[in-house]
Amino acid sequence: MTVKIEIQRGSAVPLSRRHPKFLGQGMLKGMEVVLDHWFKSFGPKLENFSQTAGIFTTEYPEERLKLAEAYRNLPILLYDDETGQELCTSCLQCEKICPPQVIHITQTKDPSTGKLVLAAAEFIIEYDACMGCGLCAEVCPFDSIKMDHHYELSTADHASLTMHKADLLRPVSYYQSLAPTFWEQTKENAYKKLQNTVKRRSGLLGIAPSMVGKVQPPETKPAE
Amino acid sequence: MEALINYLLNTALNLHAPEWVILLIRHLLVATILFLVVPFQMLLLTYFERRVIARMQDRVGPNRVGWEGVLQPIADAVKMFTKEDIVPAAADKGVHLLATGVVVVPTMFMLSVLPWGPGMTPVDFETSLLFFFAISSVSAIGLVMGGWSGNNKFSLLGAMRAVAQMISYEMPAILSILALVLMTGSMSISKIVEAQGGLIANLTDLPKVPDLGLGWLLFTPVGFLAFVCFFISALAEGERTPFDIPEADSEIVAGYMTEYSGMKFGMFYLAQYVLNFALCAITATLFFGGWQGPGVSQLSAMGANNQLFSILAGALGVVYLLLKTYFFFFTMVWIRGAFPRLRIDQLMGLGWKFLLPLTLVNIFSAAIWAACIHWGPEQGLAFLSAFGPWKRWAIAFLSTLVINLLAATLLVRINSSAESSMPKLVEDQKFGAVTLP
Repeated sequence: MTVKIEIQRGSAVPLSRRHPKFLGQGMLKGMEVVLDHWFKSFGPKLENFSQTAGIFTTEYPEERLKLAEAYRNLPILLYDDETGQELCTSCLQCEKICPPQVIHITQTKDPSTGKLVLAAAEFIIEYDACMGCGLCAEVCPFDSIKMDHHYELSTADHASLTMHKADLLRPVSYYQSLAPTFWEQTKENAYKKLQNTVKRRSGLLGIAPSMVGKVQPPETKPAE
Repeated sequence: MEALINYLLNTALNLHAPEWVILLIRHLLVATILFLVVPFQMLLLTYFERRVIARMQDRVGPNRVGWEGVLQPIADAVKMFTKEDIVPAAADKGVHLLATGVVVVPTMFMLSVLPWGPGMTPVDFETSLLFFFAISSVSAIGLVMGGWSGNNKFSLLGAMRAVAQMISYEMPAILSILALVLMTGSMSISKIVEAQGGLIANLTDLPKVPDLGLGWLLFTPVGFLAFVCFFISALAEGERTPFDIPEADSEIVAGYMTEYSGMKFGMFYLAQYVLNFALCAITATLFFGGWQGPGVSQLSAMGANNQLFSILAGALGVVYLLLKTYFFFFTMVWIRGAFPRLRIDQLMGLGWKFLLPLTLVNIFSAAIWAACIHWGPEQGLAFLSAFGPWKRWAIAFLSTLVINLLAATLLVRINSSAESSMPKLVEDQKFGAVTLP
């Protein structure tokens, strides 16, 4: 009795298993392979994926793999290192596009005139419900919202995952260290827009809370 | 040891203790040591196995708890103890509980007849080899109890498989050991070990060889074949891969252990590792000279004058035995890393059609060996006494080698021709063009 197999697609590899010279040759060969792996596991750690025998484990808390620049975890807000000006103008684009609707922005009103200022008074992202899609960072016209690389956010305190503006703000240099080439591409545009924004702000409005006192507030415009 | 207790009680403390009290204390002490050693061996073996198999699979293995993970088994034990003990509602609760004990106790007994070092056999009697294998089969009852009482299909299947496997592999194991009994003329494990002094040839066969403790039975054709058969059978009896059919987790969950949780499961686990340890130790003892090794006999000879040397000889013997035992455990893990599980028909075929006839032939060669070495005019073999001991040994070696080789090749041929008559895939399959990097 013979069994015939018809294979249409060319994905089968014919293996020629030569007749063994002695009983147990294949078994001994298999054991040799395993022992070889065992010996090589004591050698240096593997460097690239073409090496097949040896340890390639990255032991996480002590060793970490380098994250790609395009890696994204959860969003953060940027402010300028020198002037402390936030890049966010509270245009609400991100709040509108956010699929799980976890972004909540309160726009700033000038206390003296009661008019809207191009800065966010409060900016809340619920990290617990954020799905990290990165749409907010994509849509932001001012390059203010970016995706962070920090991923160790596990906590027993649920409320602490509601991130307020002060928790979200990072200096531009921080983002530059995460994704230097991406920042290089958008840097010019971002600063140009920031300059325009700053012109329409006054006093301490729009300055990152952590930078208040450290930077000189821009000169207040003369009342028109 | 009795002398020491006698000195402490009667000379130092002047208690006038009778002999039976001294014996009782001696046995209690030895039993306590054994019962302490066994769980620690199990802890060590689980850690050892996990680290070794991990490295064979290019992983690191548990290395977090304590230095390089040495406290991992203790963490596991704590987990086992704190787990909820679940007994199925439909289970036969008494039997369910008893099974754990029936499985563990025999494995502990097995260690009591092992010679751990020169003169360090906890219980030494003439038929200790028989006792060792008789008591090892008792745990099969425990497995059936555990499998039956859980009232679970998988448990029962696992128990049935376990018993079928144990019975069919007990036979070649004991038959291969029987060859050694013929060669050494003794059923006492400690005497079999003592007979393995020497170098290549042992002292009982050739009294003039230098005693380096290397006259292992492995170095004879009979002993070698017996070792191969016995080690394969030991793998099957200890339910190690590739013979872990009774607890094949991809087929029948965990076999007879399916309905056990918490420390009851831990007991089965303990029994298994202790059994594996005992099987490795008996392999080392019977074929690899046990505590025999270079220096042990010289040290114990010096011990006649100075007690310190005999203690040193004992310690060296224990080290040799444990090294050999761990080497065999490493081999078990190595085999686990290399081979997939056998099918149950392959298991039965290997046991009954290959190992059993081979061990029977081996017993025949062992008889020839014993005749060549020990027999003389009384048995009607007067022509043998004309040769010197070296010639007799050479005749025995060559004749048994020829017989064993012939038997092995014949059996391989028979078994492989039986296999080749099975339907096979034809060669002319249609393969597409494949290019591999």
